[in-house]
Amino acid sequence: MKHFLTFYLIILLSSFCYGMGNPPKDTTHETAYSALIPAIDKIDKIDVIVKGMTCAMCAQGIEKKLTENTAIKTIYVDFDRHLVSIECHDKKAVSNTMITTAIEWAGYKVISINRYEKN
Amino acid sequence: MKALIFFLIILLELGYLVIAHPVTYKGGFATSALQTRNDTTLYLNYSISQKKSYGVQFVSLSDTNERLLFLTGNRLLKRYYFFDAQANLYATTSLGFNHDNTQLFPCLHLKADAENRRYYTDFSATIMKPSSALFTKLTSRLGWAPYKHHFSTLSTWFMIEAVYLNYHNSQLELMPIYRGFYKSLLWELGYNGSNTFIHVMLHF
Repeated sequence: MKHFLTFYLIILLSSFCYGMGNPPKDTTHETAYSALIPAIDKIDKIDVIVKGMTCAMCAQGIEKKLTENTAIKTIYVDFDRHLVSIECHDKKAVSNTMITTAIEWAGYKVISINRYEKN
Repeated sequence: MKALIFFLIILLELGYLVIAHPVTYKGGFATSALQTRNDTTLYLNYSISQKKSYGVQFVSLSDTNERLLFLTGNRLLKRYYFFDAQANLYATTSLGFNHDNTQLFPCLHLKADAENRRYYTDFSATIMKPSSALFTKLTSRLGWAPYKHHFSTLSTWFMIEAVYLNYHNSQLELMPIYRGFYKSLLWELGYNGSNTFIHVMLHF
Protein backbone atom coordinates (compact mmCIF):
# COMPACT_ATOMS: atom_id res chain seq x y z
CA MET A 1 0.00 0.00 0.00
CA LYS A 2 2.84 2.36 0.92
CA HIS A 3 4.58 1.64 -2.37
CA PHE A 4 1.41 2.22 -4.28
CA LEU A 5 0.87 5.56 -2.56
CA THR A 6 4.45 6.61 -3.27
CA PHE A 7 4.12 5.62 -6.90
CA TYR A 8 0.81 7.42 -7.17
CA LEU A 9 2.26 10.54 -5.57
CA ILE A 10 5.19 10.57 -7.99
CA ILE A 11 2.90 10.16 -11.00
CA LEU A 12 0.64 12.89 -9.71
CA LEU A 13 3.54 15.26 -9.14
CA SER A 14 5.07 14.51 -12.52
CA SER A 15 1.77 15.12 -14.31
CA PHE A 16 1.40 18.39 -12.49
CA CYS A 17 4.93 19.41 -13.27
CA TYR A 18 4.63 18.42 -16.91
CA GLY A 19 1.65 20.68 -17.23
CA MET A 20 3.59 23.50 -15.64
CA GLY A 21 6.57 22.93 -17.90
CA ASN A 22 5.36 24.71 -21.00
CA PRO A 23 7.64 27.54 -22.02
CA PRO A 24 6.39 30.96 -21.04
CA LYS A 25 5.25 33.29 -23.71
CA ASP A 26 7.87 35.92 -24.43
CA THR A 27 5.70 38.72 -23.13
CA THR A 28 8.73 40.87 -22.48
CA HIS A 29 9.32 41.44 -26.16
CA GLU A 30 5.64 41.68 -26.87
CA THR A 31 5.28 44.40 -24.32
CA ALA A 32 8.35 46.25 -25.46
CA TYR A 33 7.87 46.12 -29.22
CA SER A 34 4.19 45.69 -29.90
CA ALA A 35 1.93 46.75 -27.11
CA LEU A 36 3.72 49.86 -25.91
CA ILE A 37 4.36 51.68 -29.16
CA PRO A 38 5.01 55.08 -27.56
CA ALA A 39 7.72 53.57 -25.37
CA ILE A 40 9.52 51.75 -28.14
CA ASP A 41 12.08 54.45 -28.83
CA LYS A 42 13.10 54.54 -25.19
CA ILE A 43 14.25 50.93 -25.09
CA ASP A 44 17.54 49.50 -26.35
CA LYS A 45 18.09 45.80 -26.82
CA ILE A 46 21.20 43.72 -26.33
CA ASP A 47 21.35 40.03 -27.19
CA VAL A 48 24.00 37.91 -25.52
CA ILE A 49 24.82 34.36 -26.56
CA VAL A 50 25.86 32.38 -23.49
CA LYS A 51 27.42 28.94 -23.22
CA GLY A 52 26.63 26.47 -20.43
CA MET A 53 23.08 27.45 -19.49
CA THR A 54 21.31 24.19 -18.70
CA CYS A 55 19.89 24.63 -15.20
CA ALA A 56 17.25 27.27 -14.52
CA MET A 57 18.06 27.39 -10.82
CA CYS A 58 21.73 28.06 -11.46
CA ALA A 59 20.98 30.60 -14.20
CA GLN A 60 18.97 32.74 -11.78
CA GLY A 61 22.33 34.26 -10.93
CA ILE A 62 22.47 35.82 -14.41
CA GLU A 63 19.24 37.70 -13.80
CA LYS A 64 20.30 38.70 -10.31
CA LYS A 65 23.69 40.01 -11.38
CA LEU A 66 22.43 41.89 -14.44
CA THR A 67 19.52 43.56 -12.68
CA GLU A 68 21.96 45.12 -10.22
CA ASN A 69 22.50 47.64 -13.06
CA THR A 70 19.58 50.06 -12.81
CA ALA A 71 19.80 50.93 -16.52
CA ILE A 72 18.58 47.41 -17.33
CA LYS A 73 14.81 47.20 -17.65
CA THR A 74 14.09 43.56 -18.38
CA ILE A 75 15.95 40.32 -18.97
CA TYR A 76 14.69 37.39 -20.99
CA VAL A 77 16.53 34.06 -20.92
CA ASP A 78 15.98 31.47 -23.66
CA PHE A 79 17.76 28.16 -23.11
CA ASP A 80 16.86 26.86 -26.57
CA ARG A 81 18.62 29.76 -28.30
CA HIS A 82 21.36 30.08 -25.63
CA LEU A 83 20.21 33.66 -25.42
CA VAL A 84 20.11 36.30 -22.72
CA SER A 85 18.18 39.24 -24.11
CA ILE A 86 18.55 42.53 -22.27
CA GLU A 87 16.34 45.57 -22.62
CA CYS A 88 17.67 48.76 -21.17
CA HIS A 89 16.80 52.42 -20.93
CA ASP A 90 20.30 53.52 -21.85
CA LYS A 91 22.54 50.97 -23.50
CA LYS A 92 25.55 53.23 -23.03
CA ALA A 93 25.21 52.52 -19.32
CA VAL A 94 25.35 48.79 -20.04
CA SER A 95 28.79 48.08 -21.46
CA ASN A 96 29.98 44.82 -22.96
CA THR A 97 32.48 44.55 -20.13
CA MET A 98 29.73 44.92 -17.54
CA ILE A 99 27.61 42.26 -19.24
CA THR A 100 30.53 39.85 -19.60
CA THR A 101 31.59 40.33 -15.99
CA ALA A 102 28.06 39.84 -14.64
CA ILE A 103 27.50 36.66 -16.64
CA GLU A 104 30.91 35.26 -15.75
CA TRP A 105 30.27 36.02 -12.07
CA ALA A 106 27.11 34.00 -12.46
CA GLY A 107 29.29 31.12 -13.69
CA TYR A 108 28.76 31.15 -17.47
CA LYS A 109 30.70 32.00 -20.59
CA VAL A 110 29.79 34.79 -23.02
CA ILE A 111 30.17 33.88 -26.69
CA SER A 112 28.91 37.04 -28.40
CA ILE A 113 27.12 40.31 -27.70
CA ASN A 114 24.90 41.98 -30.30
CA ARG A 115 23.51 45.45 -29.79
CA TYR A 116 20.44 46.78 -31.54
CA GLU A 117 19.87 50.46 -32.12
CA LYS A 118 16.61 51.93 -30.94
CA ASN A 119 14.19 52.82 -33.66
CA MET B 1 43.80 34.26 19.72
CA LYS B 2 46.83 32.80 17.93
CA ALA B 3 45.08 29.46 17.80
CA LEU B 4 41.99 31.10 16.24
CA ILE B 5 44.07 32.86 13.56
CA PHE B 6 45.92 29.63 12.82
CA PHE B 7 42.59 27.80 12.54
CA LEU B 8 41.21 30.38 10.10
CA ILE B 9 44.35 30.32 7.96
CA ILE B 10 44.20 26.53 7.76
CA LEU B 11 40.53 26.69 6.82
CA LEU B 12 41.12 29.26 4.08
CA GLU B 13 43.99 27.22 2.69
CA LEU B 14 41.85 24.12 2.69
CA GLY B 15 39.28 26.06 0.71
CA TYR B 16 41.80 26.58 -2.02
CA LEU B 17 42.31 22.87 -2.37
CA VAL B 18 38.79 21.96 -3.07
CA ILE B 19 34.34 22.44 -3.26
CA ALA B 20 30.78 20.97 -3.66
CA HIS B 21 27.54 22.08 -5.30
CA PRO B 22 27.03 25.01 -3.02
CA VAL B 23 29.05 27.37 -5.17
CA THR B 24 26.44 29.62 -6.73
CA TYR B 25 27.37 33.07 -8.04
CA LYS B 26 29.50 35.86 -6.66
CA GLY B 27 27.74 37.26 -3.62
CA GLY B 28 25.14 34.47 -3.53
CA PHE B 29 23.96 32.49 -0.52
CA ALA B 30 22.73 28.90 -0.56
CA THR B 31 21.00 27.13 2.26
CA SER B 32 19.75 23.57 2.42
CA ALA B 33 18.20 21.03 4.75
CA LEU B 34 18.40 17.28 4.22
CA GLN B 35 16.71 14.53 6.16
CA THR B 36 17.26 10.79 5.76
CA ARG B 37 17.04 7.83 8.12
CA ASN B 38 20.79 8.09 8.77
CA ASP B 39 21.35 11.80 9.08
CA THR B 40 19.97 15.30 9.30
CA THR B 41 22.00 18.03 7.63
CA LEU B 42 21.64 21.80 7.68
CA TYR B 43 23.88 23.91 5.48
CA LEU B 44 24.53 27.57 4.74
CA ASN B 45 27.19 28.98 2.48
CA TYR B 46 28.31 32.18 0.81
CA SER B 47 30.03 32.35 -2.58
CA ILE B 48 32.84 34.88 -2.66
CA SER B 49 33.24 34.23 -6.39
CA GLN B 50 31.79 31.96 -9.05
CA LYS B 51 34.48 29.44 -8.13
CA LYS B 52 34.74 29.59 -4.37
CA SER B 53 32.47 29.57 -1.36
CA TYR B 54 32.61 29.08 2.38
CA GLY B 55 29.96 27.57 4.57
CA VAL B 56 28.80 26.11 7.84
CA GLN B 57 27.25 22.66 8.03
CA PHE B 58 25.59 20.83 10.89
CA VAL B 59 25.17 17.06 10.65
CA SER B 60 23.40 14.78 13.09
CA LEU B 61 24.09 11.06 12.56
CA SER B 62 21.13 9.17 13.94
CA ASP B 63 22.75 5.71 14.00
CA THR B 64 25.52 6.78 16.36
CA ASN B 65 23.86 9.85 17.92
CA GLU B 66 26.82 11.98 16.90
CA ARG B 67 26.48 15.70 16.23
CA LEU B 68 29.03 17.22 13.91
CA LEU B 69 29.74 20.82 12.93
CA PHE B 70 31.76 21.68 9.84
CA LEU B 71 33.37 24.81 8.50
CA THR B 72 33.71 24.18 4.79
CA GLY B 73 35.73 25.62 1.95
CA ASN B 74 34.28 24.85 -1.46
CA ARG B 75 35.99 25.13 -4.80
CA LEU B 76 34.83 24.71 -8.36
CA LEU B 77 37.92 23.09 -9.80
CA LYS B 78 36.82 23.00 -13.42
CA ARG B 79 33.70 23.73 -15.43
CA TYR B 80 33.30 22.42 -18.95
CA TYR B 81 30.97 24.56 -21.06
CA PHE B 82 28.88 23.31 -23.95
CA PHE B 83 25.91 24.99 -25.60
CA ASP B 84 23.43 22.42 -24.30
CA ALA B 85 25.37 20.85 -21.48
CA GLN B 86 27.69 21.50 -18.62
CA ALA B 87 30.11 19.42 -16.56
CA ASN B 88 31.73 20.33 -13.28
CA LEU B 89 34.42 19.15 -10.94
CA TYR B 90 34.02 20.30 -7.35
CA ALA B 91 35.97 19.74 -4.21
CA THR B 92 35.18 20.58 -0.62
CA THR B 93 37.45 20.46 2.35
CA SER B 94 35.98 20.80 5.80
CA LEU B 95 37.19 21.03 9.29
CA GLY B 96 34.75 19.10 11.43
CA PHE B 97 34.05 19.28 15.13
CA ASN B 98 32.53 16.31 16.88
CA HIS B 99 30.39 17.71 19.67
CA ASP B 100 30.35 14.47 21.60
CA ASN B 101 34.05 13.73 21.88
CA THR B 102 35.24 17.34 21.34
CA GLN B 103 37.47 16.26 18.50
CA LEU B 104 38.53 18.16 15.39
CA PHE B 105 38.89 16.21 12.17
CA PRO B 106 39.33 16.97 8.46
CA CYS B 107 36.84 15.95 5.81
CA LEU B 108 37.30 15.73 2.06
CA HIS B 109 34.50 15.67 -0.50
CA LEU B 110 34.95 15.39 -4.26
CA LYS B 111 32.19 15.60 -6.81
CA ALA B 112 31.88 15.38 -10.58
CA ASP B 113 28.66 16.06 -12.45
CA ALA B 114 27.47 16.39 -16.03
CA GLU B 115 24.06 17.47 -17.22
CA ASN B 116 22.01 18.76 -20.05
CA ARG B 117 18.31 19.58 -19.89
CA ARG B 118 17.32 15.94 -20.31
CA TYR B 119 19.93 13.87 -18.49
CA TYR B 120 21.92 14.23 -15.33
CA THR B 121 24.70 12.21 -13.79
CA ASP B 122 27.03 12.71 -10.87
CA PHE B 123 29.51 10.89 -8.70
CA SER B 124 30.80 12.00 -5.33
CA ALA B 125 33.04 10.66 -2.60
CA THR B 126 33.30 11.77 1.02
CA ILE B 127 35.94 10.73 3.52
CA MET B 128 36.14 11.77 7.18
CA LYS B 129 37.01 10.39 10.61
CA PRO B 130 34.59 11.81 13.16
CA SER B 131 35.31 9.08 15.73
CA SER B 132 37.51 6.01 15.93
CA ALA B 133 35.93 4.71 12.73
CA LEU B 134 36.56 6.05 9.24
CA PHE B 135 33.46 7.40 7.49
CA THR B 136 33.39 6.89 3.74
CA LYS B 137 30.47 7.58 1.47
CA LEU B 138 30.25 7.06 -2.28
CA THR B 139 27.24 8.43 -4.10
CA SER B 140 26.17 8.30 -7.71
CA ARG B 141 23.05 9.61 -9.43
CA LEU B 142 21.43 9.18 -12.78
CA GLY B 143 18.58 11.49 -13.67
CA TRP B 144 16.09 12.01 -16.45
CA ALA B 145 13.79 14.95 -17.11
CA PRO B 146 10.45 14.19 -18.80
CA TYR B 147 10.54 17.55 -20.59
CA LYS B 148 13.04 20.32 -21.23
CA HIS B 149 12.51 23.03 -18.68
CA HIS B 150 12.85 26.72 -19.38
CA PHE B 151 14.22 29.58 -17.38
CA SER B 152 11.01 30.44 -15.59
CA THR B 153 9.15 27.14 -15.59
CA LEU B 154 8.98 24.36 -13.07
CA SER B 155 11.65 21.73 -13.62
CA THR B 156 11.05 18.03 -12.98
CA TRP B 157 13.60 15.25 -12.69
CA PHE B 158 13.41 11.57 -11.85
CA MET B 159 16.61 10.19 -10.42
CA ILE B 160 18.03 7.00 -9.05
CA GLU B 161 20.69 7.38 -6.42
CA ALA B 162 23.11 4.69 -5.28
CA VAL B 163 24.83 5.25 -1.94
CA TYR B 164 27.58 3.16 -0.47
CA LEU B 165 28.12 4.08 3.16
CA ASN B 166 30.85 2.64 5.34
CA TYR B 167 30.83 3.74 8.99
CA HIS B 168 30.91 1.15 11.76
CA ASN B 169 29.14 -1.09 9.26
CA SER B 170 28.68 -0.83 5.53
CA GLN B 171 25.54 -0.61 3.47
CA LEU B 172 24.55 -0.08 -0.12
CA GLU B 173 21.26 1.61 -0.82
CA LEU B 174 19.30 2.58 -3.90
CA MET B 175 16.90 5.49 -3.71
CA PRO B 176 14.48 6.73 -6.36
CA ILE B 177 14.22 10.49 -6.09
CA TYR B 178 11.88 13.09 -7.49
CA ARG B 179 13.58 16.46 -7.91
CA GLY B 180 11.79 19.67 -8.70
CA PHE B 181 12.91 23.22 -8.82
CA TYR B 182 11.35 26.53 -9.59
CA LYS B 183 13.45 29.67 -9.86
CA SER B 184 15.71 29.59 -6.78
CA LEU B 185 14.00 26.84 -4.81
CA LEU B 186 14.85 23.14 -5.18
CA TRP B 187 13.20 20.20 -3.48
CA GLU B 188 13.87 16.45 -3.60
CA LEU B 189 11.76 13.61 -2.27
CA GLY B 190 12.74 9.97 -2.19
CA TYR B 191 11.46 6.75 -0.74
CA ASN B 192 12.72 3.19 -1.23
CA GLY B 193 10.57 1.15 1.14
CA SER B 194 12.83 1.47 4.17
CA ASN B 195 14.28 4.96 3.99
CA THR B 196 13.00 8.40 3.10
CA PHE B 197 14.93 11.28 1.60
CA ILE B 198 13.84 14.89 1.88
CA HIS B 199 16.00 17.75 0.65
CA VAL B 200 15.21 21.44 0.25
CA MET B 201 17.62 24.05 -1.08
CA LEU B 202 17.29 27.79 -1.62
CA HIS B 203 19.63 30.20 -3.42
CA PHE B 204 19.40 33.87 -2.58
